[in-house]
Amino acid sequence: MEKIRFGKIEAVFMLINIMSIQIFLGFPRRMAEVGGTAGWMVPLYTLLLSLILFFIISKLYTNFEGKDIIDIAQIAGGTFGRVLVGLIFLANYFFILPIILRMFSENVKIFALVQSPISFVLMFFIIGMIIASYLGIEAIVRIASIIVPIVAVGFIVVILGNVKYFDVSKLLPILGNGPYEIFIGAIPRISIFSGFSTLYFIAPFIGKNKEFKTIGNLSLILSGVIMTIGALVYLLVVPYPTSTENLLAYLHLARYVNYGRFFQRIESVFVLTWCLAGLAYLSVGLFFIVYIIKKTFSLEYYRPLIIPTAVILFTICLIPQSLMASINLEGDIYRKYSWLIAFILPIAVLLLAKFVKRKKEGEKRYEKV
Amino acid sequence: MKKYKFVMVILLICLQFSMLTGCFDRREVDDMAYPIALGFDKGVTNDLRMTLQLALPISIGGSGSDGGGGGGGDKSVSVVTVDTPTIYSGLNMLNTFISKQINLSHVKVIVFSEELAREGVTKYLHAMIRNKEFRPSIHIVVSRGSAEKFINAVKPKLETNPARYYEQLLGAYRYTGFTADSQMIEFYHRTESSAVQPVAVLAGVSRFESSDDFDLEGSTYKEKGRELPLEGDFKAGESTKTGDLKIDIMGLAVFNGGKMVGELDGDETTYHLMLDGTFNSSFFTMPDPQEKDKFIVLNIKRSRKTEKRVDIINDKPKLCAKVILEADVLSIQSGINYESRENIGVLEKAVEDFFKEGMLRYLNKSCKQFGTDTSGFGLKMKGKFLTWKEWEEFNWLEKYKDSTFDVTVDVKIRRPGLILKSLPDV
Repeated sequence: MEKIRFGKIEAVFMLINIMSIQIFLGFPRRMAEVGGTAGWMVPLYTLLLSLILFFIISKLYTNFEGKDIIDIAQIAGGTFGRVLVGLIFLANYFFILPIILRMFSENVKIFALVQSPISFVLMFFIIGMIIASYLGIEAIVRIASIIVPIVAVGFIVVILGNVKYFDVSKLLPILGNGPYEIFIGAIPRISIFSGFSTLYFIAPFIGKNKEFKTIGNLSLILSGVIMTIGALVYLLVVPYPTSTENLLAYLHLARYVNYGRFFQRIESVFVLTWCLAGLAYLSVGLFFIVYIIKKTFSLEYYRPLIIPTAVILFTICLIPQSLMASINLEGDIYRKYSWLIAFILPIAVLLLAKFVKRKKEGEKRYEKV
Repeated sequence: MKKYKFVMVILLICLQFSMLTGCFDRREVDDMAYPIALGFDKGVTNDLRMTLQLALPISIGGSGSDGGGGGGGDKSVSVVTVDTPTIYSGLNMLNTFISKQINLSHVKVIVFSEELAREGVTKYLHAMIRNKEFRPSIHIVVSRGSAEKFINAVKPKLETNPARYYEQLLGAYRYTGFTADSQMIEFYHRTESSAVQPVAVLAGVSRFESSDDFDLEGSTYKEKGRELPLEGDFKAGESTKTGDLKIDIMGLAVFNGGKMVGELDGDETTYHLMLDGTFNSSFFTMPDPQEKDKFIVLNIKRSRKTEKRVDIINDKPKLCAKVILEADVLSIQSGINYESRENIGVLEKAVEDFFKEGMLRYLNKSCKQFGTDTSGFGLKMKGKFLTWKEWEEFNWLEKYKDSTFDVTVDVKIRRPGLILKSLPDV
């Protein structure tokens, strides 16, 4: 599988989808909660912080070209290190993936399949995820590069359809909930870029460090810009504090589109593109869970793990009692603390691996002398 | 083995296709009943009296919505009323005796009775916003009197499609200036806003059965010091009109949050639109500046966006607005040659003064009588603060009541119609 290679564009599209998918869930509302009328500043500010953190990571990565984070953990701490880091990332994905799966399914149920049981709606996504994971990372990434432009068109149509409701006064007072809330309180909100951690696992598929760096920077910048635009448009249309009420910000915006008797009720199309993006995200998630299990426990094959993992995800996602419980888990825990796994853990692992590597190289040189 | 896997994948894809049909949610269009208008009154035997005007698609389709014009309008709808504790329990009750399931996705208008609106509509709005079937573009109307009576009186004559009738009726503000756009989503946003307050279209049933019954008791012309009413000096239901169409749409219901606090007549509504920045165009009648017993009629249009500013002087807001309009001459009854270079300025000045007086009267009513900022000066004021906390502590709506005003109106008469020069009678 390590012989698989995919291009920069495919990788960037996949990462953009992973990070920006939140726009179609509760992200714009959460930004309004954090920053008030200045909620749009939060993704922009956290983007800058993420770029600084990635700059450090990419500098440290130069010594480990073509290796994923599990390989680097092996260098840093041997088998113990590899298993520990693998388990941490697994816990991370096993936490967020069922939540997103549940949220997408519940949202589809709320909007479209009202009478259908939640397990039925979940199956729709689960089967897609299983098929995608069987087909492998190459297929997933290439499909993502087809889906992302389609979703982008849907996103742009919703934005353009709402231009007539734009009102700059809705962004005032300019500092919203205050500079402290935005610039200090929002630091943990770097977690909105936590999907970025997938990059550490696709490093072997993209090869050189230069590409790794370009893909990382490009995907972070584009996702940050998309999320900033997403939050900005929402806040330009829905005034604060009403903006903190809506369950699915962009579904509301899609419902507002109304140009004459013909161009209205476009949310049905929006829901379709939205599910496509969700399916692409969830497929990547399932694939990387089984991939990490395989790497962590040095297994030879990953495919036999797909169905059991999907069943586990299906079961876990039904544990939260309600949609509100899932939303709280995502907003109050994952989107506050996952930056530690996405940015701080890799820095720690890379530093340790660098130290160990240098020490070993020093010992070898000493032995030669 | 490879062949087996391929078959498995194909089977899984087929299984997924079957799920896309969403068989649990299978609903046929024919199995649904589509209300076009919903009316809410205070209930007698329960909290709420809910009236539904249901579209009869067979009648609409049968008579054709575009051709022929008129005649079958009253047959294109059916009206039902129930007393119920809540909106959804009412729907449940209705579903027991209407053979089709009620689907609200084609509702065009929600009518609240004035009595209910004065008690507050927030709890009903929340219930509607939460439901995906209620479209954000639904119009909010307040009926002077019972909503049930109003809905029963809606019998369109020129349009057989009732949905289209409401769309056109409530979009007429663009060329009359006597009502406003009161789509549910904007109304809802404003009920929760601390900077701008909502308005809803004011509707009613005409109290005159024939032209012999006409009187001016309900007109607001005397309050404005006029000898005779102009066309905007009425509220819904009071207009001196009669005919097949019993309903009347004129003026606005003014809200403070979710509670109705007052009414504007057609004339004040025009000034509201001008200050709000949503005025488009309308015919406008005013007394001739030189011969007061004669009228000048103009087609007034918005020229540029209204400029608004709020200054704080001695801790009191000073509301400054500059309204920029243009006009075409439609009629000069006196025959005075206002089109001439010498006289055009006189007419423009007279129109500006007339509008300014009306706007000051409207602003005074808005601040002192209603205490609600429906023109959105608060949106400008909000920009003077850095944080939301500072803005909230400022308590705009309390300060608004003590406002003073500075209104500038700029009118340019652009076109004289097809006559370039007025000549007096011989």
